[in-house]
Amino acid sequence: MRSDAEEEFAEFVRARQHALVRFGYLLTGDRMAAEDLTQTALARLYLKWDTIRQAGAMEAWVRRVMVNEHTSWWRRAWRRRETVDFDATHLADRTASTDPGPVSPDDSLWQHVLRLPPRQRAAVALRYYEDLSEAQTAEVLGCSIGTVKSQTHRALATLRSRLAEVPA
Amino acid sequence: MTERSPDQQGGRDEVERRLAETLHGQLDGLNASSDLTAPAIKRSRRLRRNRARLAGAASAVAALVVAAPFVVNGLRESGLTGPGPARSTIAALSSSGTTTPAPSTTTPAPSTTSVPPTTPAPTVDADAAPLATVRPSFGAAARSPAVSYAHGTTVHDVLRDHQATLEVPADSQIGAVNGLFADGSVLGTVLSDGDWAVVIWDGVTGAERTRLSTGTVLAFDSDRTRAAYSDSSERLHVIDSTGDVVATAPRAGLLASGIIGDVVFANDIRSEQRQGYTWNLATGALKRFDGRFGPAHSGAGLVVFRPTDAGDDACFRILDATAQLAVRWTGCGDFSPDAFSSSGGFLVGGLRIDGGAPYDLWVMRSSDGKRVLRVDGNPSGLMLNGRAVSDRDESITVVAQNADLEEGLVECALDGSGCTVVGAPEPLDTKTASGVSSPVWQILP
Repeated sequence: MRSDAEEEFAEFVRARQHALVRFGYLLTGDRMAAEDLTQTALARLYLKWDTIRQAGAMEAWVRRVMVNEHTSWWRRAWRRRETVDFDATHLADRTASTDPGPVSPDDSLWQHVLRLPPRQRAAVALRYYEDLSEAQTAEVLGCSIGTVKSQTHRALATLRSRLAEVPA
Repeated sequence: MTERSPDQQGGRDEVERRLAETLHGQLDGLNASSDLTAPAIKRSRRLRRNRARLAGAASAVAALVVAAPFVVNGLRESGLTGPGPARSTIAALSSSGTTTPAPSTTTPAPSTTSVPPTTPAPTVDADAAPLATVRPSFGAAARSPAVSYAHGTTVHDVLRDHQATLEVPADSQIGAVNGLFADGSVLGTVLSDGDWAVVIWDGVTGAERTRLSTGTVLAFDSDRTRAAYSDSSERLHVIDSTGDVVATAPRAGLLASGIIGDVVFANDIRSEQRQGYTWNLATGALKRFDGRFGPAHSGAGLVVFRPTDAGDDACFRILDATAQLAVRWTGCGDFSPDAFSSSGGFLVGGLRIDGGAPYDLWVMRSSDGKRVLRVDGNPSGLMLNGRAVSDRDESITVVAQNADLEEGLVECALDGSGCTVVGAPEPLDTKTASGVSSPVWQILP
C-alpha cells in the first residue's frame, strides 16, 4: 500500500513525465537517454520529496537536476577530449543517436541544435520550447540572467551561422 | 513552468520562429514509453539504502579493525605491500554478515600480508561545506602559469624550465597532450582522417618520433617511464617512451584509469556490469572487482573505487594501493571526483546535481576527505575542468571555459584568498573540419 507521499509523487510523475522526457530528449537527442535522464532526476526528487514539495517548485527542480546531470555527462566528455577514451565514443553514440525521433519539418536545424554545447542547448530549449522567461531560465539553469542572455545569444549566432553555411 | 514569457512573445526573427517550430515539431509527439514512477522510486530506494548501508559498513569495519585490520584483496605479487601479519580478507567480512565496504574479488583471494590502516576508514559527507570559497573570473593574465602546461601545440615544462613546439601535420589537429615521459618526450594524441592516433614527440625538437595506432592514452606510472595505452581493438598495453609495448593485458576491452607500482587499474568498457580489474605487470595476474576504478595517483598510491552495489554512484572509496587496497575513507553524496591534483594531495571534482556542476569545482584533501576549497565559477559563468588540476605553492591551477567558448587558466589559492588568471582566455576553434575543437590550454600532470 502506498504512502501519501508516494501517491503524491506518483501523481506528479504521471502528470509531468511526458514533458520531462521531451525536455530530456532535447538535452540528449536520444529517446533512451532522455528516459534515463528523467528517471535519474525523478529518483533524486523522490529522495528529497518532502523538502522540494514544500518549496513548491518540483518541476523546476527536476529540470535543473536534468540539466546538471546531463552537463555532467558532457563534462565527462570534455574531460575525455583530453584523454580521448572509448567511453567518449560510447557517449557520442548515445548523445548523437540514430534514433530519428518524431518527424521534423526542419531536420537540419534540429541537427544544428543537437550540436550546440549542452548549456546553450538547455537555454535554447527553455526559452524557445518551454517559453520560459530569462529569469525563469536562469532559475532552472542555476545561473545569472546575464549568463542566460549570453548563452542564448551565442546559440542563436551559431545556428544562424550554420544555417547560412548550409542552406536548409 | 507554463507561464508565457512576455519577452518571448514578440520580436522574434525568422531563425527564432523557425527554431521554435523545429523544437515543437521534434518534441510534441514524444511521450515517456511507460509510467516512470515505479522505476524512479526503485532507483531512489537503492540510492538511499546503499548510502545508509555503506555508512553503516564503515562503522562496522571500524570496530573490526581494532581486532582484525581488514584487507580488500591481495596485491602481494605487485611488491607494493610491506611486512605484517596475515589478516582477514573482505570475503571473511562478507560471510560474517558484515557488509562490504570494499571491493570484492570474484576469484579466491590468496592469503595476504597487509599493512593495516593507521586509522579506521571513516565515511565522509562529500557534500559538506568547504572551508573557503573563491570565485574566479576571466581577464588579462597577471603572469605565466607556475605549473607545466600546454598552450596549443607548445609544451611548457615549467618544472624543468623547458619548452617545445610539437609538430602537427596541417591536415590533422592536436587532441590532447597527456604528459611528458621522464626522458622529456611528450605523449599525446592527434586527430587525423577521423581517427585519434597516439603520438610521441621529441621533447626538445618537437618532431614526431613515433605514431601508434588509433587509441587512447590514460596514465603514466610514477617514474614516468611507462604509460597505459589502449589500441583501436580495445587491447590494453603498457608502452615505454619509445612507443614499444612493454606488456599487453591478457583480456581485451580494458581501459586503464591509472598505474600504481606494478599494478594497472582498469575498467571493462564492454561489460554492462561495471567491472574493474587490477592487472599486475610483474606477474601478469588479472583480478576482477565488482565496481569501477576511478582516478588514480601513482605517486600518492591512491585510487578511487565505486562499487557496483552502490546504486547510482552514491558513494566512492579512496583505496590505498600501497596497503593492500585498504579503504582510507569513503565519500558519500553528490560530489563526483574527477582527478587527483598533480601532487596527489588533493581530490578534485564537482557536484553532480542541484545547482553545482559544472560551474563548481570542489577540492578535498586526499588523506582524509576534508573539504578544503570550493571554486565557484557561477558568478562569472565559468565552467571548470577538474580533469587536470595542478597544485603548487599552496594553490591550484584549473582550465576554465566561459559561455563564449573561450578557454583560460586560473590559479586559486587553497586558503581561499583569491584567484588569478595565469592563461589568457582564447576562443576555441569551433569550425574545425572534424567538428572537434583542439584545446587551447592544458595542464600537464
